[in-house]
Amino acid sequence: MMRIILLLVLLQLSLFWVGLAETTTRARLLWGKSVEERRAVVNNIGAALTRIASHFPMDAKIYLIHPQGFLYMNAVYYFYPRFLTVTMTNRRYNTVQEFAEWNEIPSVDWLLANGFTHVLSFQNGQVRGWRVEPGLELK
Amino acid sequence: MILLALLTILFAGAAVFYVIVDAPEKYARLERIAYCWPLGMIALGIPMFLLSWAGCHLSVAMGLSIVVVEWVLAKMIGAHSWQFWVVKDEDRPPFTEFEWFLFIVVVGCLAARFACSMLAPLNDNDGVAVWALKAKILYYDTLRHTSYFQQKDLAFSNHSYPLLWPMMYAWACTCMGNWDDQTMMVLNPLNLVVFAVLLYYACCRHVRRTVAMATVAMMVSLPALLHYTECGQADVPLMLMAGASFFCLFDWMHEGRTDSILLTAVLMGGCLWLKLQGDVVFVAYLLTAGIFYWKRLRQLAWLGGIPILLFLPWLIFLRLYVHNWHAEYENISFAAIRWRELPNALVFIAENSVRWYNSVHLAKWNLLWPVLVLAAVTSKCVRQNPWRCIVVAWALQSGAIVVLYLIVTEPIRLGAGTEFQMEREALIILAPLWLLFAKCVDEHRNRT
Repeated sequence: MMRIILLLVLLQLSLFWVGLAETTTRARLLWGKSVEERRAVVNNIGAALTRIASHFPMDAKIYLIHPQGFLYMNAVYYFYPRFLTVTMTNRRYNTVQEFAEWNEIPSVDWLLANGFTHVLSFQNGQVRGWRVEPGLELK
Repeated sequence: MILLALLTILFAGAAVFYVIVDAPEKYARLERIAYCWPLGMIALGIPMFLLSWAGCHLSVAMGLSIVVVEWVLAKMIGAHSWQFWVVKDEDRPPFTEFEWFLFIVVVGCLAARFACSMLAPLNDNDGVAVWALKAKILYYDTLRHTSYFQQKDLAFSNHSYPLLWPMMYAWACTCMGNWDDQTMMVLNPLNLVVFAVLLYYACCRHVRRTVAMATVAMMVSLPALLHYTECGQADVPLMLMAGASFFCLFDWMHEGRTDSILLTAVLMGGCLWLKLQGDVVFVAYLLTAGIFYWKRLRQLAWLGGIPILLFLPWLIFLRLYVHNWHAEYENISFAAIRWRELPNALVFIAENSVRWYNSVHLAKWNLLWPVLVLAAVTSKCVRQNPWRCIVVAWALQSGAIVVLYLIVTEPIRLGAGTEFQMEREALIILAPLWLLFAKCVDEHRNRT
């Protein structure tokens, strides 16, 4: 029994190449690329959001309409320190159910009164943005 | 400038190590430096949290001042000379050929992981939406002035998670002078390197060097660690902190030294500051020590009291400023535990433990778990103190996780989310189990 266990330990030890091969393959995949190219390989959503965020000034205050959970959660990070929110009522949005119930399209007056500079939407995979100005219509 | 961030963490930890440790010759030179890393995260992170709460922006001057003040206090309290750091290691025979091979495997795996972690930007949902977001807020703003904790739409980032790990990211970026979520990731593989060093020396105290080296080689080459060493979450830091605190606790169980229990207490405070799972680690280790070493009551009181004292600032902050912190726990209460589901949960675990070893999990864990279980079950050391304490600590941690799953409202099932959660818990639970694994293998080697 002891010899079997020691053999199994040696077998486990000999499998070091699995972890080493996996790591070096991943490193080779990313070697020689720029930061943004590497981000596009390992996290293409992050790469896209970084590019979109760069179009907004750092002090922008953005209201995101028709939010999808995963995109919103990542967008908050990639847009920061730009302020990004999806709610007028400081409501909690965390679960799929809560995002499905979202129904907080703001009026232009509310946006202007609260200092918002832009409105953003990722609905149906399309990125659309608007500057907050009198006469802006949102659906 | 990232080097400045790393050195300040080390120097801050060195001040704490200098004050606590009576007998530096008990630790190898590299081991002393390795302990300074997790101690430094605590020694730098907590004062930075307090200063940020007071309204001070993170700055290089702030970090350096903290280190200077800590060293002044350390020199006033500690009674050592500078020889403390240069006490020679015991003379050891040179490496054998097989040990050289294992050393090359370890260095190769760590170098590959380092390269991978440095090349891959943040790529995990929790890493981005929870830990890096908090770090960015700490970098750009202060705890006093940020509206983050009052924004309920940011509840997905878990307002109640402690801030030690994001604070380290923010500190790294502060030293670099700009937000750089690529270079700051150097902190992740460093945790693995430090854990490898601490594991090696902890094993060397109880087993032959070849077995210690082989255990470290198996640990650093584990594919399951790859994702969590690069994804930016706080699981690998917690694995390090839990492992470091258990190795010190184990020394205390063996020798009863005061400095060992004080180191354990400070490191367990670090566990509390890293993740909510740190609470499980703290309770499990404290209970384990209490069950078997209840006669050392005074030292157990330090073990229980010091981590809570260190954690107190966060608990006060949570109560005062995180208005929806209880929402994280609204379904969690003793009364909500579905005890009738316990048999189903145990059957579920038993069934999936066998089915779990499909091709995906075999690729992630290799043969580690079956070999570990077989080695432990057939060895004699697990029936003796303090080795059986490792088994008890594992049982308490695993039991706590089973109970936590019994109090959620969803039915018990194995989805992708549960699998990742189990993986993360397994990494943290494994931290002390490596020591037991090494002992069992050494024992079997002696018996053949």
